[in-house]
Amino acid sequence: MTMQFAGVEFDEAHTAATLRIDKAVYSKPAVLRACYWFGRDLHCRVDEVAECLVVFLSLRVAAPTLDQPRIKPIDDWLSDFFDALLDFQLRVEIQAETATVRELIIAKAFAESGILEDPPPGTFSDPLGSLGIESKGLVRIDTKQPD
Amino acid sequence: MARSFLPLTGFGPSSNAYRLLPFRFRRLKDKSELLVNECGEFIAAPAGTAAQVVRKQLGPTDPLYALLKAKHFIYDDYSSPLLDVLAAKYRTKFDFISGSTKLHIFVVTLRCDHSCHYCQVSRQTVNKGEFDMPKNVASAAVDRMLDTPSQHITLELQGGEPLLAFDTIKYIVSIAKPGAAQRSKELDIVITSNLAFLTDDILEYCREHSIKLSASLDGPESIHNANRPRPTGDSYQVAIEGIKRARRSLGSHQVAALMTTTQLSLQHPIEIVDEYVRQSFHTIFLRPISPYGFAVKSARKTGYEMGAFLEFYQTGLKHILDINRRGYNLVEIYTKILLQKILTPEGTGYVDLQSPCGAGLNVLVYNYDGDVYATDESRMLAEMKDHTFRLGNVLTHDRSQLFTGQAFVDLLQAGCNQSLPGCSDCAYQPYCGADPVYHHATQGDMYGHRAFSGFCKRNMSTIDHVFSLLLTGDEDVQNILWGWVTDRNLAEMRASLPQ
Repeated sequence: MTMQFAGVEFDEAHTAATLRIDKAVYSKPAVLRACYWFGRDLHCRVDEVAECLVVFLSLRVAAPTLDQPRIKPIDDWLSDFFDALLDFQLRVEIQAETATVRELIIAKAFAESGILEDPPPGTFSDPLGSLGIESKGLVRIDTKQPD
Repeated sequence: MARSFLPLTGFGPSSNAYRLLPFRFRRLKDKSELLVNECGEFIAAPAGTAAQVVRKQLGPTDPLYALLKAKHFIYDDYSSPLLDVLAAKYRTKFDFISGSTKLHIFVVTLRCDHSCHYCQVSRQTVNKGEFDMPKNVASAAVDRMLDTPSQHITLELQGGEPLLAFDTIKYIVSIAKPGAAQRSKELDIVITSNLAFLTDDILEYCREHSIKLSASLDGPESIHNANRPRPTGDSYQVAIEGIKRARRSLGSHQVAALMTTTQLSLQHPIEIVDEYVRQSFHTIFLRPISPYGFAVKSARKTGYEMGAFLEFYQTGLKHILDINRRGYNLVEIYTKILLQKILTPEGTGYVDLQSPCGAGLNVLVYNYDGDVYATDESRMLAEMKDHTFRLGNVLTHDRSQLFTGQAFVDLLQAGCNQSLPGCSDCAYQPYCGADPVYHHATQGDMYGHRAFSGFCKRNMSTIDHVFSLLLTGDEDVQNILWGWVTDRNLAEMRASLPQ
């Protein structure tokens, strides 16, 4: 069943759609990453207009061919695309919140290999260095939550 | 450093919000979600869990909360992120990097009597001796091999058909064994052969030097003979006879078999698996054809879409699981490698599923002419006049030069899936690899676009399938899969369960 999405404009043949995406809800990295994964089946173009990201999607193959005798209309791609947008926005948020701790884990993991000039900060009892012990290591962890 | 227990309040639920540790997630086909942390530990959860976790909607009394804390997906005021523990787990996963190159492949000759359509070697006819590895090249290649820091190295002798250049093999073994002993290195030696030229003298030599044999076996007679044509039309017969003689002489554990999947094979997964059982093998590797060498030239005869291979793999795997259920232990190698990555704390030495990619880091290929390639596939590309992955030559480059040249630097940059578009936020990243050589060969770009990648499609689909078996398979299937990573058969697994 084809779902209806408010605010989406289609071309006459329903081979292309234009989506206006609120930047306050979805970040540009999330939109671009979602588009990346649809590259096999859809042409994607992203423009930035004021508070919106305008995403233009069109079918790569708009008419049946011997290789692709059945064409999935653009409408049917939209629910997958919106699911992907939600997922990639979450991924962007996870990465933003965990980037520093991830760096620290990796730095600690390979610290023994001798590639770092100083051991990274943080100990078992004070993993974030939050007890105020000043560290001069190469990697520091920022305990401040991302905005 | 003195340590003491936290106060009692430290063991109760936290009243404050938790924080996230790095993790990735994926929606599964059954509408559930898979959450995978940086070290590859996973939690299968209902749809919407990732969003709940990220939006901090889980309360400390939620049953999932404790699991997420225990498996290092979140932490709160009363649980430090245990960074040292996470770091130790992470380091363990990357243990395959330590020691550097472990597998050293010597192409002792390009000569071969078979004319396989998909041949990855661009073979030469039997009497073209100029395509054998000369002694000075062999000697320098052994030096490069022994220069590797790894304490345990594998020397794989292949061709063409390596038994056609057995004097070269004997020369290489004669200098490699004492050289390894002198440096206190363990050395395994394997010959990859079609066994057509196996003699009693060769077997005696292999027995004396503990050399393993890896034979080609593509399936039952009709498939093997069609895939591997020989002037006398008897490639299957000579392979089977060779396997039997080798087992009698060396012992079954010293003889393995490897298959290649052609378009013809795709229609016969059951027959191919049954042939391996008929020949008393306990492992089989359902692997797709490589898009290199003659496989590109003869794509109409051998080529196929990855989707067709995945259907072949899943049908074959189902049959393999049924065979295990009936009491015969048969392990599918690719599935086992993935299971090791998913279920155990360790990585694997399988080059194609490593990140940083195993090319060069874990395998080096020394061609008959002394050229050094990052993988066997790189050498196949060179046979097609594409020398992108030629790292140098044993006669002119020492080990440090091989690893600091632009070819290797490029490989390494494109070979870390932790930072590749499409891979960096994929839930399966800890289980997968990068394979710049494959993407260069198929897309003309080492980085590659994952939406168009057969490598990505194969691994996403295969890992999806393995998870579906792990999470929803019946008790026997789960025991069989766990048995593959713990080296126990189904009967042993059943016996180990609490009554």
